[in-house]
Amino acid sequence: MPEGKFCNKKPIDTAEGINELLSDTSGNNYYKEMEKLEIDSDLLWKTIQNTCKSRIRTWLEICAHCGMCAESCFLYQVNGRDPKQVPAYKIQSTLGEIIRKKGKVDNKFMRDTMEVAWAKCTCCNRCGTYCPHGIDTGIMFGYLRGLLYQQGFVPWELKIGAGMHRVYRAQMDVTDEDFVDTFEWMVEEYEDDYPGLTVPVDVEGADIMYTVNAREVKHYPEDLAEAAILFHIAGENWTVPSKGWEQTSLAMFAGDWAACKMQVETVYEAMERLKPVRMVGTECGHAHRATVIEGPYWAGRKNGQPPAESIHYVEWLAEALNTGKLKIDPHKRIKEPVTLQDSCNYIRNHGLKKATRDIMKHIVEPGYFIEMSPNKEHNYCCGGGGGFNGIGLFRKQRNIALITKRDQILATGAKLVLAPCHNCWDAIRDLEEEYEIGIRWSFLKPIVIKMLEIPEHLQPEE
Amino acid sequence: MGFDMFKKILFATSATAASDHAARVAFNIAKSYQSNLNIFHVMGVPTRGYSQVVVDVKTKEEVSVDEDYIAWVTEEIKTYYEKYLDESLKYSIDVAVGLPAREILRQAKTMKPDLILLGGTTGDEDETVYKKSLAGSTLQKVAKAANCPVLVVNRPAASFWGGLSNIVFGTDFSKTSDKAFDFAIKVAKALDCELSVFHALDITPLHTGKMLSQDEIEQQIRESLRKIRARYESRLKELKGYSMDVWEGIPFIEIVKYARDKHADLLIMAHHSRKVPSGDIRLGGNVEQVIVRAGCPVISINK
Amino acid sequence: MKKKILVIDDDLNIRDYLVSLFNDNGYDACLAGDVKEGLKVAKKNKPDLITLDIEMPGEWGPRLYRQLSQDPQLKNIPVIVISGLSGHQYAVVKAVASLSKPFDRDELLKIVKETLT
Repeated sequence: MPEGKFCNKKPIDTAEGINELLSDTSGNNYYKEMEKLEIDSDLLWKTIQNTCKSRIRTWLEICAHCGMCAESCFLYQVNGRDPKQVPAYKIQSTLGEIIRKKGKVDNKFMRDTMEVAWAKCTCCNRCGTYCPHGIDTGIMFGYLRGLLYQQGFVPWELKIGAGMHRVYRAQMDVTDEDFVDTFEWMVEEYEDDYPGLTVPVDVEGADIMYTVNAREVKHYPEDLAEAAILFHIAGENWTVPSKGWEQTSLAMFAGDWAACKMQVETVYEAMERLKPVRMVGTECGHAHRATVIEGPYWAGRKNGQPPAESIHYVEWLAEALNTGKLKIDPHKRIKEPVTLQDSCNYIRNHGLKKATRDIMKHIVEPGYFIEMSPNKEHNYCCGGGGGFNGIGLFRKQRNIALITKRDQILATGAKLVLAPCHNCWDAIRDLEEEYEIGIRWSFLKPIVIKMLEIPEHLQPEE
Repeated sequence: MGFDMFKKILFATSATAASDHAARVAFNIAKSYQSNLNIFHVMGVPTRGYSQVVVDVKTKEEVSVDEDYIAWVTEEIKTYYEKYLDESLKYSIDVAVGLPAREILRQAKTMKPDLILLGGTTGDEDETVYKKSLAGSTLQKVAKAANCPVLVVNRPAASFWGGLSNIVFGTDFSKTSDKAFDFAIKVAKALDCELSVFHALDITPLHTGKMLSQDEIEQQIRESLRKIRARYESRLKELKGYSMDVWEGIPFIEIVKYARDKHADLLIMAHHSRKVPSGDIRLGGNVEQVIVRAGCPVISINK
Repeated sequence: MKKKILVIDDDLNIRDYLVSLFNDNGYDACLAGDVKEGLKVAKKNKPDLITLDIEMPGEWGPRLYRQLSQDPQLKNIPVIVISGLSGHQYAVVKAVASLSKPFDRDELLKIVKETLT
């Protein structure tokens, strides 16, 4: 049986297809079928010839096997320093092997490679900053995932996730109507507390076009209200697009390049339609990477930039605090030891460490902010990045991966962890569930709202 | 009798022992007033981000949610409440995935119930790890945001509900209290109940800024009684029986004591989302304290 | 003179069992099947003790207790709750005891004896 009913090379393009795959509990049949899935070696080799450009080929060749990357990898550290967890080994034994064999690899090899690509690398790119040659294994794993996806060797949840983007242009089954409805519902719920609170939909020429993570709409809609409240109090001229509001990309985690392009183009179309001065994305790391850093290349934009200047939520927040658009009541600042999780995707990979430190200065009483060690661009992955969090098959490996972050947090002594990234937030929540170290965790929005000085004219009557 | 104030009831339950007391009241009300009872269970939030896996609040186990599982849970709920589910009861069962408070509100948004009925804070759904994520309790969030009255049964003592004849309405003379009064008098009239209007005079130094003299206290009691008369008495006269009282002390304790003294079957109060000093939004103040302590069901009214 | 016990329960079997149990043990038992009847019998017979079920058709046991406590002649009659409901021990705050169905007859008799001497 080359192509399975559930597990095959075909991307999912319909809601029925998603439901069918979802009905296969935990992907049990999916993974069984995967054991029989045939490899289209010709297609694989042709794809490599067309897409594996000189950068990756050079990287694979010039790697001196010096081992500098080993210690940089938290998965190497936390898995008993197993040589098989050395980044250079991990990529050479997978992508390197596929290329050396010109795509003629067998089913078992592909399944092992899938595990390496999704359970032994979170694409945190930390090794890249320590390699004397500047070789970035994370980038190469991103590429390898694309090859695996093409051949149907992709974890069940990510196949579904990529399908969601294809069908709904969102990582979950949230329609455009759901998004607008939920946002309006949330604003209604809070308008008594914040008179004049609205959600301006599809306003052209606004200063800010706000984009979100579909999970907020589906499970944590307070986040939408909080975003609205903060823009409202800051006096921003903002809007949300009724289409193109989803900033995330599970397609990126899955290696579904075509879906990556579809997804990000929806957001870019919204920018072109509404012509905002800037786009602000929510507190999400990979969404920023997908839409702001990598997206322009997927969409074939020559200048490597999105159609409108696009910034991360922490950049907007830092700016609003620095310029006094938002004012913090100094009495309400955090007065307990607190630490901050640096998200790989916008700190290491987009240099936004100053923005988050600025925010900490405003919201934490001096002396109470404790940096993790290491931190900023040297910080470790939360343990659940790159799709790791969501994959049932690799749950055990993921739980081991959380140990690094757990110990970093414990070393700070802080009981409160600020995590302005959905993936990090999840991983930290899960590590508390798994290891019970007695911490609390939060995004920035709810924390900041509680300590704002609200201008008189925006306060409720009575 | 054409009592139609509880036509549609949304009963949010964990379908475990933690919800038993609330269930007793829910099924009793539904049967007494021929309500449509929607039994609503929120399984939990997906762990692992976008995955399909949730930690089931009933079993504490990680489960993969799909149609089969939802059908199974629905069946489990039916079995759990088997003894109540006879032909005289109009009911439906819905199961959702998410944060309990949010999903209850979402269900209320589409269903537009006349009443939301919740178990207390001791329910084990609050013992999960989500409690720590600075989120606040289910009860508090639902009471704050719901567009309809929210009835809470917290203590087992509040669940031996055998009908309505004595209602206590606690007022603080706010606008929301007036709305709560409208509701209280409607219920009292429709069900021919006695209604006791009560105000608790807060004499804690924290509130008054100083220790009040007995003369001052009694002066304030007289003033409050005058206020109650002026505000409510004309409409109370439509009822078969009513009383008006003001006691001094720690407000939530006094209300609970008063309700016990009156053998109240139901306590009705306004929920104040705004008047609470922002430093202490943890328990919205009085109403939540009353809910936690009361020996009868409490209805909180927000809008 | 024999002490009088009023049994209030809507379950016929339990009611009959309790009545014969009390009669066999030297008490004078009478019965009622619901709250309304219970109050009537209590007023007429002035029992020395009442056993009270909680969940009954119409009004529930605790509501009878309320009515008793508002009547100066009846308010000091001791009440023993006998119920199958979970958490029944919270139903009547001032009950002298609260027993779960099925109950232990010796335990019940012991409590009755202690209460009535």
